[in-house]
Amino acid sequence: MKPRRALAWIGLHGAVVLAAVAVGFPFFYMLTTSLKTIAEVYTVPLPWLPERPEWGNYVEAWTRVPFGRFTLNSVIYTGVLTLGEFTMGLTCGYAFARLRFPGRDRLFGLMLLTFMIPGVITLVPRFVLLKELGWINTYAGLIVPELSSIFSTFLLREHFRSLPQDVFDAARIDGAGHFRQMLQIALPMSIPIATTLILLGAVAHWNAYLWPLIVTNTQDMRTLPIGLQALKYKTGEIPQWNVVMAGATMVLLPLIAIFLAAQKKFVEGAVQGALKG
Amino acid sequence: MALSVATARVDRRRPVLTERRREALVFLALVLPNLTLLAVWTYWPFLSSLYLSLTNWNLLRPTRQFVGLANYAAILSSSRFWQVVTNTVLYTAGTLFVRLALSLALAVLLNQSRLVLRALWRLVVFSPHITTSAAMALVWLSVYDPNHGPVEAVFSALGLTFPNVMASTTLALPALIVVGIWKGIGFSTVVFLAALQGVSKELREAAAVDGAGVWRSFWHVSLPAISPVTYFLLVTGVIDAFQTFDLVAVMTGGGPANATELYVFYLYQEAFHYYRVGYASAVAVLFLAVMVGFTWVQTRVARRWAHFGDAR
Repeated sequence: MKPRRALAWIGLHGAVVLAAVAVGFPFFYMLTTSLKTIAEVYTVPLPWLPERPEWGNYVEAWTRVPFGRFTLNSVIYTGVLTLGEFTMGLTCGYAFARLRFPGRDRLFGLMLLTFMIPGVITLVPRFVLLKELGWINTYAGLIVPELSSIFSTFLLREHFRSLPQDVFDAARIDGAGHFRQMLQIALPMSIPIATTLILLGAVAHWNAYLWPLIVTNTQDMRTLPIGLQALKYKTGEIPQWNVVMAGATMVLLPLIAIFLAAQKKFVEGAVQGALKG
Repeated sequence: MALSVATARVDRRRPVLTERRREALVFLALVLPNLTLLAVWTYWPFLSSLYLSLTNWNLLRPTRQFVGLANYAAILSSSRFWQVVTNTVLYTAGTLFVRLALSLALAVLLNQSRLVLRALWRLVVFSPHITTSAAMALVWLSVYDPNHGPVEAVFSALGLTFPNVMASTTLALPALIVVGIWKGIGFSTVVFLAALQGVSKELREAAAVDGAGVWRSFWHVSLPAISPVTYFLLVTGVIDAFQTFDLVAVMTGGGPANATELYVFYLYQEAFHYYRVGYASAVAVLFLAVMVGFTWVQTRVARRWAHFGDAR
């Protein structure tokens, strides 16, 4: 290779590696700190690696606060909400795409307008309504207000409209009603987009902070992102960073697993949204 | 065909469940749950906010009175409100422009054909996007620790002192901006990369034939070609940044001295800390007005940009 090309190659990779290290550093720091003793956390100069992995931090993170309970709440919130939202998108998207109804498209346009309403403006009235229903600090209060879907409906409708008519005609001649057509024809032909929607939804709900913070007010109902904050202080004043990092790692674990298994889906999801929009 | 025979044989005086009507019923069955939820938990709250913003309701007091535009007057004359707006605008500008510039540069690098392990770098760069903000905010707090954190360690190795950024009224917001950039750089990089890869080879080859060097080809061919995507990232970036909450709540609580108080956090404090629900609703309505105004402006600008994008 000519020296100039070699230099350019080194420069290119150097810059990219530098960027990757800069972006990845907080993760490295989180993991290594999660395995340090509290003494190592406060040692100067800072040791970059722990002498021995202190797995006890993970146990302490799990036991000092009701971490199991937080996890359960997060799993319920994320699971029910993601599946429920998807189901709404599926049924609504299918109906708007393939069923006839007077004023259907205008109704859809009206529904799309809701997309413009930022969540921020619904917070206070939702809270008031939840209070009147007695749903504050309950799973119902956490899940039901968030259950409706516009984004999934929109995407799935577009997708269903693109499916070939003959498959549905064949099914109808065979005697399949609308529900059968939706579940046995449309849905199986939508696995890729359905997977993307469910993955993106699950990640978003797992990471939700503001909404659960508003709805819940006792520790046993908190979700992980909120409950995690309680790890910062034990007794006394110094922050227990090693335990906090262990807790944070555990919160991120399912996300990292999903991400590694389905990274293409996430990247595609981001790109499709941007390039279509 | 079998169905029309069946309906023809039915007595016309009895209500007939025609295929059309059945389809309409199925439509309603499929659509009503979602629409009802939307109506109750999104439409109605929106209208309710408009109304509440005209009252002086405080959840700690049982009564509420109609006070007209008094809340709006109070908000617009509150210096704290304007500080919050300034903070939010600075935060948005700081994260957005730096992030987009960096991610465009990064995307160009990642687009180079001689790059090895592209998928790995893309993975690493994208990973902050899927993380829990509230969790990574804690990590960054520790990173910023002025006595025991890694940044401090690097600074003192270089013989410099690392200031306590979280306690500084001038440095706290920039510190948050860095975290904001870190969190969002993956998304914009990946999107830019896809856009760059989509710039048709013919365009670039034509430019090369015309004698355009690498830089000019980029500036006059690639950049305009990806302008719709740049535009999209700008718009979504603004809307996103304006709604930042987690970072503020976890890292600074709005401090020091309201230096990092961003809009949604301010609203949250008013509504759920002070329970000034009427006032907070007015704050929310103003937010909506700004967002709607911004969206309206951007659609008009988009029409002009699109022309530039198409022009060859």
